[in-house]
Amino acid sequence: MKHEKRGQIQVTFSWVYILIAGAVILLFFIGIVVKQKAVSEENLATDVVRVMESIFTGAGVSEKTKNFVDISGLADYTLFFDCSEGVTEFGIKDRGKAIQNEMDPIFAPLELQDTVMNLWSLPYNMPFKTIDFTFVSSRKSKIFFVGNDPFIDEFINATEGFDNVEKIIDPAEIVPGLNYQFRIIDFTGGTALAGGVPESLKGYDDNKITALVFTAAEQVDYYQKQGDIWKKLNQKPVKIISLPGERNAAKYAAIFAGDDDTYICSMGKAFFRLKYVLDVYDGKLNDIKNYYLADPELAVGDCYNYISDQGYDPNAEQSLRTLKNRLSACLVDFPNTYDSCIDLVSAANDLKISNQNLGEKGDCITLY
Amino acid sequence: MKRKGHKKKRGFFNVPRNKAAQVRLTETIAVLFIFFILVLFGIIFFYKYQTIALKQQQEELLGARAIDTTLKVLFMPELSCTKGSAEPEDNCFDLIKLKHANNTFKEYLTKYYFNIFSYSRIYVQEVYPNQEEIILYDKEKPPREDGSQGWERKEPTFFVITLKDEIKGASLPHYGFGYLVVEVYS
Repeated sequence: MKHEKRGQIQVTFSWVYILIAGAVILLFFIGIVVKQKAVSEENLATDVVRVMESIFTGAGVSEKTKNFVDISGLADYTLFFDCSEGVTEFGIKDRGKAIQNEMDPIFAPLELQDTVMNLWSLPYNMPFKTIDFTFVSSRKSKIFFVGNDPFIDEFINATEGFDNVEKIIDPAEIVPGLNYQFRIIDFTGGTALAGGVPESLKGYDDNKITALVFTAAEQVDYYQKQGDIWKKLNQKPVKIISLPGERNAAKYAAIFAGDDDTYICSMGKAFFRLKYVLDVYDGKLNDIKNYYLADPELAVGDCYNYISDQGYDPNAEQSLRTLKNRLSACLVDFPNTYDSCIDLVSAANDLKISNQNLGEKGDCITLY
Repeated sequence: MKRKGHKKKRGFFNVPRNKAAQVRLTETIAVLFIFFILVLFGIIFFYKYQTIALKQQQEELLGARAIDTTLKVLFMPELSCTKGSAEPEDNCFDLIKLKHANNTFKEYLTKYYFNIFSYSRIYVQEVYPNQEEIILYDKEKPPREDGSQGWERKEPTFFVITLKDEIKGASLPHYGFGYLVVEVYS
């Protein structure tokens, strides 16, 4: 009897032992699988943003070219874009490591979810090409224009193929459909937003509905939905600092930028780059001046007078120097000194005129 | 009928009971030994695989960086040929700007241009009319603590370009040609 009982206990114990050991082993493997899944997703997210960075590099340099990037594999994820303290950060929300970019001005919505990403780049001229602006958008990020301004038609023609730009008479016309986010661009000076958030968009999250009001030709205010009303995001009007003309990159950028902070942050990158490009042009101007000075006949000619600060008004030397000084003032405490950057425009315009004179009137060596 | 009284207690494999425990213990040790050998093999295999995969990934990244850097250099406003507000001339460098860009890149290397070019050497080799080499950027990886070279590989990329010299050409710009070399360090 004693022996039999011991045997029974031993068998039961063995089974309990096997069960516990089996469960532990099973849990171990389940743990590995779960960990691997999380690691794979993180890796995928990191790979994706790395590829995105390469795409942005390509899109950034292929001037005026539109790129449509298939991101259907990321349809369930939300891409985010941010810019603060001169650094653009983008990646997949809550996943993987975000990419940080200190160089390229990228103007994009703060969040984006779609199957196709629209990329486009335009050169920023001040007055010579300083840098390329990269614009990011998507089909489900709708842009509605209200008002009558020649720029609206220019923008619609320029963004042909994006399939997300529309001109409407009244924001009440907006049919949301299956779109992710909406932006109203108001060229009526704010009257289009006076009626509050359109009824059809009231059910959306606040951050998905934004608006931009052109309060002057080169000045905007950013708004975001807050319940049923519009909340102004910027304290001071945001100035658009660019030379007038078609394909005004800074004006286009204001429309694609997520908010006033990211817009000013990315514009800062352009101004910092301008400082270095100006340095190169300053050297080139000196070389051209010395070339004309070396020849007594050329030193009294029109070409020299369009270059030298002792010559005609405006001249390249004086305009370039003014541009450099004003840029220093603009960058002294950026972004707090952003408003003073507007002074760059007149100096850049003078330089543009000097350069045109060099090319057209005097048949001389041009600065750019 | 056999007598049971003198029979020794026997266990596993008909081995005497006192010896059966020893056999079981040896058997368990052998199983554990083989198990750990297999685990060790697995770890070695995984480690080797990871090392190779990492190397491959590093090479891929180096190649991608070389292409990206070349692309950026080719379209830099500090170097490219321009004509007023018209689009810049493709694959063309302005020789006057080129000579000054070298100083600008050097002056603002840590502050700005390192973020674009990282550890690399970029130069333009003029082929016609002269054979001058113009170094634009040169930042080698710092040596290791033991004093050995800080990089393992460098990936060169070449690109044919035209070189515009407006001063030389008087009324019409003078064009030469050469190639751009971008070497990125791993």
